[in-house]
Amino acid sequence: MSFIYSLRISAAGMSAQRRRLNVIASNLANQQTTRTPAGGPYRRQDVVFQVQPLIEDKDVQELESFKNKPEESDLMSVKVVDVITDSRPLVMKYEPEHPDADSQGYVAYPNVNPIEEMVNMLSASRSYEANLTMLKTAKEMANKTIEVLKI
Amino acid sequence: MTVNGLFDNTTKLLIKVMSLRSAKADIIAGNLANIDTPGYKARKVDFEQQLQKVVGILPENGLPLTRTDKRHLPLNGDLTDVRAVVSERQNDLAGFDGNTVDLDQEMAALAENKINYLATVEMLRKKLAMLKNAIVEGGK
Repeated sequence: MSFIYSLRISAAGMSAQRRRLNVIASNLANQQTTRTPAGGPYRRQDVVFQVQPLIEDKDVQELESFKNKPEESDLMSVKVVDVITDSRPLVMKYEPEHPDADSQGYVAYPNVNPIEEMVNMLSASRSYEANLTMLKTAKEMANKTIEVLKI
Repeated sequence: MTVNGLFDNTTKLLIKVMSLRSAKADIIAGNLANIDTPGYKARKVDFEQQLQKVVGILPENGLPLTRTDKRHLPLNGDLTDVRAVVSERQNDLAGFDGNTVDLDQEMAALAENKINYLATVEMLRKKLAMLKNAIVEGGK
């Protein structure tokens, strides 16, 4: 019996969602950015989530794996493994007076769609809350168990 | 009351249930953490039926316990065989990314598991309090 695992998994989930939220904030802040250190306009970024099996001590576990492979864990944590750049086309706007306009007078603006980012933001926020609820629950269960010692 | 050492079968059962429910919480935590992971398949944990089976059988050696009420628990050592079976949750509509975690289902499972766990702990507290009462009052 251990609450360390659920606490760790929830913390990993919260951390991943927080990272996602940071990337969304960066996308929203750079909606109109036409200059980047790498040159050219800002491009939308997105996070890649990946399952991270948690290695645990099998002796203390009550779980029976459906995979029948003892070396594989049933406890699944999560991790942001990569931040990718969106390859969708940039938004071209005709602004001949803009310093970054090309020879035809078009300015390449970032491929950030604010509506899409807002939806992602809400999704990240909700997922964060779900993980937080799990964390609180695990903490409450652990605290209640410790109370047994007070008898 | 059957007493094996200091603790009776009910206490053992309560401890086992706490252990199983804590394992279930770990699996729910994994589902919630992977709610946005593409291709992740939601998992569920089953042990209730197994537990009922174990609780419902008579001891193999020794005299069977007389049960004056069918709700009394004729427990034996088989309790250790009860394990939380992890499986993939079936019949879920996968999203565009193949993820089958249903937030509402998970939150409901989380709440149910927590309530049951806390109730079990409370029962254990009561059992231990009774034991302490017997010890303290006996010394007076």
